[in-house]
Amino acid sequence: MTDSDVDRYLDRLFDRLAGTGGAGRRALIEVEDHLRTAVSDRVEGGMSREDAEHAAVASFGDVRMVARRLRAGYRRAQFAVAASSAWLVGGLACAVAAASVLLTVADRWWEAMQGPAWGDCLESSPCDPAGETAFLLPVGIALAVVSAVLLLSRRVLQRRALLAPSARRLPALLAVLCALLTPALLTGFGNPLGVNHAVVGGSGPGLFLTVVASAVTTTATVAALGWALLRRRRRVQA
Amino acid sequence: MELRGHLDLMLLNSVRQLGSAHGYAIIVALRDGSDGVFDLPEGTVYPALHRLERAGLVDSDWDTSGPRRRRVYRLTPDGSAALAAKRREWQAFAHGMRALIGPMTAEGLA
Repeated sequence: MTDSDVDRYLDRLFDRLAGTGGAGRRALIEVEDHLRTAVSDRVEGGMSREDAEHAAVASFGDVRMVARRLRAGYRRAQFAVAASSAWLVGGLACAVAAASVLLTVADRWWEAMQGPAWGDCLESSPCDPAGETAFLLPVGIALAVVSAVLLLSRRVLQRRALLAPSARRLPALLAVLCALLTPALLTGFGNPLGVNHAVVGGSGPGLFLTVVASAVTTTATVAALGWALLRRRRRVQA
Repeated sequence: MELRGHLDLMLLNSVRQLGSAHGYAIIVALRDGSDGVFDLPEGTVYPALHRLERAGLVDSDWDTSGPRRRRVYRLTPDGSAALAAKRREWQAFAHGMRALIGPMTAEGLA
């Protein structure tokens, strides 16, 4: 018994999609379903099975062209997802940097209001809140604007189908990164158990900055986890 | 007929009209809905559908209710928004072209 036209077509497509993994396997299943449905329709319309198979394969297109398009799509998709993810991470990094700088400004203003003996404004090493904030405030605002432009433009381009979505695992990766950042911040700013020491005049930043920075990263962790769960829920619902 | 640049609009529109459909049904809808004008090589539709899915404009899942496993496509909210935007672009293009070359008449087509 010889292979039919459809079987031969599928064998050739299988050979040409080698190395494409699950995406190629899925394409093969779809193509097989398509060709067998097309053959059934033509047979029901009065064609012989042999003619129906020949016509179905012919109207599907040259196997080399189909394989080339499928393979090109996978390559472009990988690049597009990587670019979109990098764009998103860049926007978020600018947002985090902006929040960090603006929190520092807030900390300096708070210290200035509390007097010279508060936090890291020591009598031996006085702070210059006005001087520091004059430099930091424009930097923080500029970073916030850049972040907003990056994130909003990405959203607009995505809605207009000009930009791919980010990698599926990106929210989970961001959640892990933020979760690791919290203890890093706490230990980086000094022993958490000794925060009170910093408040009463030891070296290191004040309680305000330490707690707020940790709260920001914790919130970012929760937000990233929520985003990951929401994406998963949408996929399941779909 | 040259369809490059219009295939996404045509596919998104067909998926929206069908609600939820596999590739073969989408291709038949394209061909029948255009009175046979858009009888494109069927093999070009699947890479395009996969691209739209990766762009988040359609979603798909396996339908195992029939005798064969089938990949079924449906429009996502982002896909609906993209379809609306592409329709507006196409209408503006068609309006401009109609103004430029004049309305279609029997004499014009001859």
